[in-house]
Amino acid sequence: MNDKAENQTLLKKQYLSENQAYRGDGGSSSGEDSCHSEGWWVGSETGSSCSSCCSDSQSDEGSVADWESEVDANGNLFFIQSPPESELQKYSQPVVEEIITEVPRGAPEGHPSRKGKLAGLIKRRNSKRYRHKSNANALVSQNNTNNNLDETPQLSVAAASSTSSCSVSPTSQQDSEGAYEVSLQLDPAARHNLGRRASLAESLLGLVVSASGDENKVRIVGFIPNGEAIRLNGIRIGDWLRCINNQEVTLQTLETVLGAFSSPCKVQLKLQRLTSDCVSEAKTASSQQVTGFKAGELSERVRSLVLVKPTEELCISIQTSCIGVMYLTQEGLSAGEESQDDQSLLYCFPAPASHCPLEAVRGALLTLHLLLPELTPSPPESSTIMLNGELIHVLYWACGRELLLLALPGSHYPLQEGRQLIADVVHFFQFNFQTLTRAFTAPECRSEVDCFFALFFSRLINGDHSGPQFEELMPVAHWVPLPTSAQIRLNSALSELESNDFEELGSNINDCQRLFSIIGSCMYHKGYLLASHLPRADLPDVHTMLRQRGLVPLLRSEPLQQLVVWHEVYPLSCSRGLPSDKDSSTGLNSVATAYPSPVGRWFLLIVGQEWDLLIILLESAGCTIRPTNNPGPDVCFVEEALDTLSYIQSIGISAMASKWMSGPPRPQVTTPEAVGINKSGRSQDHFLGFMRSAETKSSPPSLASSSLLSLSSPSGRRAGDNVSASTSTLARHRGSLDRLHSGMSAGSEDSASQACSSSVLSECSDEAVGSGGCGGTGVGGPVVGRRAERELRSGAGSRSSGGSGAPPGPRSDGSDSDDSDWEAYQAYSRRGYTGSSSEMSEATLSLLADVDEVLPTKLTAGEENALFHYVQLDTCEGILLAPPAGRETISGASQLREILSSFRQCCHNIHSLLQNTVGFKKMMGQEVTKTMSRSLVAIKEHGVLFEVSSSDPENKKQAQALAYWVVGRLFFAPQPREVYVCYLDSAPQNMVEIAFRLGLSAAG
Amino acid sequence: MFAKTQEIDLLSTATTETTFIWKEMEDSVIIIAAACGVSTELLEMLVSSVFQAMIMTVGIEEIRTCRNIERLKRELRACYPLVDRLLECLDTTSRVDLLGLTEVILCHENISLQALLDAYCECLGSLHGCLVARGRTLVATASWWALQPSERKLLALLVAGDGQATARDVPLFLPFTSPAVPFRLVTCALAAGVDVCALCGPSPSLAEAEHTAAQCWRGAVDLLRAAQLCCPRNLAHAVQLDAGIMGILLVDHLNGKFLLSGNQLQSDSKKDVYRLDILCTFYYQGAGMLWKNSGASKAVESYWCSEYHKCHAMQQGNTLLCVLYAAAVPTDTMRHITKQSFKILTTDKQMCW
Repeated sequence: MNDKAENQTLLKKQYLSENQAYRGDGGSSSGEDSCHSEGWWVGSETGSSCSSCCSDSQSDEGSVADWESEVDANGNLFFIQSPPESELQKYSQPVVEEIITEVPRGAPEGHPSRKGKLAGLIKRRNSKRYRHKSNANALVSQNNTNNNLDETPQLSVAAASSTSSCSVSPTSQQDSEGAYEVSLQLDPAARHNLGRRASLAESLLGLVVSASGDENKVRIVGFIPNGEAIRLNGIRIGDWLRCINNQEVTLQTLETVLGAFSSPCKVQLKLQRLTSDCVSEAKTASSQQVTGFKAGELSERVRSLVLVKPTEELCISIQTSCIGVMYLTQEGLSAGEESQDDQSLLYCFPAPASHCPLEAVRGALLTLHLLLPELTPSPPESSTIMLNGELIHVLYWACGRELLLLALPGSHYPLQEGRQLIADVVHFFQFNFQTLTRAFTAPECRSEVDCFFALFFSRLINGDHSGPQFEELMPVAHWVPLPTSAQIRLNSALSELESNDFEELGSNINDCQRLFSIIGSCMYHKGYLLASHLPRADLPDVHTMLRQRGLVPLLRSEPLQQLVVWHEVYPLSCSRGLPSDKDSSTGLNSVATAYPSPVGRWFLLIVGQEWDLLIILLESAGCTIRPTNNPGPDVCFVEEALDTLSYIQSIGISAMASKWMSGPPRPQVTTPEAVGINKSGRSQDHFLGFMRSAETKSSPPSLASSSLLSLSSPSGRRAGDNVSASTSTLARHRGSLDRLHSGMSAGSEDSASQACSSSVLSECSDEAVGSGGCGGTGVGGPVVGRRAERELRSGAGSRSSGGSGAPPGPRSDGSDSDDSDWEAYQAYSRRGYTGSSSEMSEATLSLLADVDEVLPTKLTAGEENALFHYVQLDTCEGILLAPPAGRETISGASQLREILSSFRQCCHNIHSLLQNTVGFKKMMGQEVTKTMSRSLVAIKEHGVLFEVSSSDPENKKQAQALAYWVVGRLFFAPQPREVYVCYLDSAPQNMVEIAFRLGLSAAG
Repeated sequence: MFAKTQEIDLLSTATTETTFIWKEMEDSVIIIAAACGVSTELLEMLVSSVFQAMIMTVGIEEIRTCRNIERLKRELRACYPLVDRLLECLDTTSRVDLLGLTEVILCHENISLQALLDAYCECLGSLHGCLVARGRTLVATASWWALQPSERKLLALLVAGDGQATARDVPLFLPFTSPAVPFRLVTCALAAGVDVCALCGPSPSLAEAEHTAAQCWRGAVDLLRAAQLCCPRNLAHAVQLDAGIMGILLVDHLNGKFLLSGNQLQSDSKKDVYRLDILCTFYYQGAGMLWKNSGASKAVESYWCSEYHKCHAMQQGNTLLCVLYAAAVPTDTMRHITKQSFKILTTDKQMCW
């Protein structure tokens, strides 16, 4: 049966893919057509989704649930799996073995030969099944918690039942012992065809059951995808099925009881939620399952991401926390005074308007919004109100004639943070739903918006307000620059993916029109950006989406098993898909450009494994097939993305990134505890530094370079050499000679510091390439073609040279061949660079290769590192440079926590001050409004000196206050860039110099 | 405001550049203020100052239990000039002033003048006396300094605003010290631009006060003239500050007084005002956080660099010194010079800081 069903599915898929291509050419078929055609293949099976052509193939397995079955009616997908707990516990060291144990996907027997797409898909599917069986995991997809609004006609019965029962919140019926009831529509005639071996519970109820501890209890251990039960939100894996229509059931009697239903009817299931002491039992029971059924083991954090629903408890806690959101319109205000209330309110959360703290004031706020623009040049941004003795900030976001209001508790969120927050939310909506109007009024978006706010507010309520936030709120992605060689390899892997050249899928695909073209991709590791090929304008939006979906905080703390997200998006770089002249009501008056943005649709695909996320922005316009309906994730693209991701992992990028991040931050930062030891010599330091910097400043133009050269440490001198080398050929020559010379004197002082950075690189790449080799020939194969072969060769080489690679005299010219990674890289870089400029010599190449040696490890001047924290904010590029987050949360860093909290608070002030300058310079050409104080228009640097007395009881007898500076500096050209640093008040620092070194360190 | 019926207090609303605040006083009047580029705290201070000006004019009882609204409105008309001057404190483009703080002159004559003033007040039987030159306080009695800063500010504005009167007798309430019982503010002109004021009860009469003033201050005309000459600089000419300093603002937070000086020997009023305006903006936007001590960290110094100038502020105890420098002065040198200037200004006994 299984084989037959599978063949049928595959045939169907081929049919569909061809048919789709045909339809694309014809462009005439509608959504209904596709449903029909599917219905024809499905036969008695009730498919869940008409958009995902492969979903049905999953249901006949009964046990394997993959992301494909989770695509909702809008074609969107949010599928997440967390690794088993055993793996979660050792997440501190990233798991690379995963790749080894995995059966190679794509083509198990060597390099992929050109086979048909069909064959390729079979292989992929097989391997995937294997993979999923090998690790028992639960999955919960977000759209299960939503009501599918656009069900196919065949599903109307099931959908009706699910909505009706969904409306009854299980928690409300739950009694003290955890027992609760749900009602379920049963239809024996239209039951799932799950094969002979499927039990009645599986086919009728959609529940996978097994015996628990004592034989009598019927324990729910899984759901059948698309089954009735999974649509009910109440039932959880691990619950115990007690009664059906008040008839007590055991595992033995279950089949009989279910068999008695012969006609469609509604049944009442009585279930028992596990009390906490039973949970452990349940877990052991489920882990003993050998059938490959999923056990309910999403990690706590993932569960909170996915399962969040606007429940009543949340509503209550929102009410008490003075949080709420409203979307109002001015339409109909001029009409009848009485009826205005209901007309003007388009959206409200928490749901009944009476629960929202904004309900009482919204009339006043709307009036203000209408009145104030007559008095001032701009509409209101924020209001502060006092409600029941609580301070509430209300943020406004006007959108044409509509208005978004967001209420935040003033005790937790200062106004400045609130402004960033609402901007972030608005960008999220614009990116995901095109306009606010669509997000809040279109019925298909409704449930998603509800879920978003439930998640958003529960994060606001439950999240720790340990202190002010700054870096996390800015519309920028936290970028961790890897060493150049790693960056190049990562970039080339992304480029290869973006070339959209899926040759391994066989020649068949050449006959088809492509589904999507890729307009950008980016790579995240542990929630930090590693590389981005996205258009500038889109990177902040993508990051906002990751952040608001909770993926950034999640990945900072725990890894994923697998993640697939697919969502239609509206990138800013394509002016959100809005035609420039139409739709002026939305308020997005996009400037008419010379190049009209293409008319098309865009989709965001996120795949994730372990700590890594790969994000791809797809465009469906121009040469691609015009999509009909809501195209779900295309299996080819998802597979390509997953392959690329595991290829990136296999070449050691993520392993190296982990090491890079877990090591000391580059550039170095220190802690107050560390500097406290040498506090005694401070005053002297200060005086000397004062004199020195006064000298330096007498010659401003040569400031940066001269001070770099004047640094006493040898690495500093070399840094200077290399910097000048990149600018002038003469100096380059000298620099390379210098380098060769220092390369010979390998034991010199400066190579010690290089060794630490490059040994990290070589060490982990050794390991990774080794593992890639073990994993077999096909690991990188599907994606990377020729380069994979090269990698494999070098991988084999590295294995033969084995673990001998003790810190290989880094980059010293003779020892290159020892370092496997290096060889591959060299081969690549030679090809790349000689292609572009042929006059580059061997020496130049090697010079370029070891930029990572010259990382200026210290940003501050003076003998000792005085830097506590730094942030470089580049809103134009949408990136942020800072040490990895969470340094202050480790125990024993209380003083650092205190310092960073005042740093962040101060940064907000400095930021808004510097925004005056940016704003002024931007409107230079236009007439200068009188609203801006003329004293504020040219400020480029602002610093505050803080003193903190050490709270440590041990240090109290010393009673010496720690003084530190928080300084922010604006660099206007070529694009506005802000640098914030926090350093100990020892030697005077020059912000230009610090920013220069910071930029240098980001270069690789 | 309109949300009051819902038992919600609307406190403030901000647009990109404008701030609005609403404040209900004594359950009877609502004061609304709007300003560009001004922080909410400063605006709140303005609103309470305006309310105090109203109390000063009509007394608290009249506002609390208003029987005839038209009459109250008519009576309040008297405080409009005072309110105008309060508003000018925020608009620093024409004349620089700080809200809620008394502007003082530091000159070496102060120590002699203090003795004369104390004697004069004793003659009048008044505790509160003050010597004012062009609206800036030279010296005042201890009780005068014990008044609330905003009261003193209002009195100073009242004296400074009235032009060339040689003698005044103004009945007024003191918003904090005596909101219900009126006092008399008696002022006599001693020299051009120098007035002596005292807060008196029912006696003595204005004529008596003038007579006493003439007697007490007869021998001090030269002193007064010399002190008055400091005026555009507000600082004794003998005090030499670093040449890089383009202006200073010295604020005593506890006593509510400040000194503003362009550090120019001969005045160029337009340039001066511009420089002092920068200093004020810096005081509000850059150095204001030095007063706030949130958490364990305490801000003690602050600076900013613009294309054309640099400002540096240093706080010691209750005193804050903001200094305006030319852009060419290195950032670290500023700290040094500010420290020196701080010492010069605050330790001279003769100037009575």
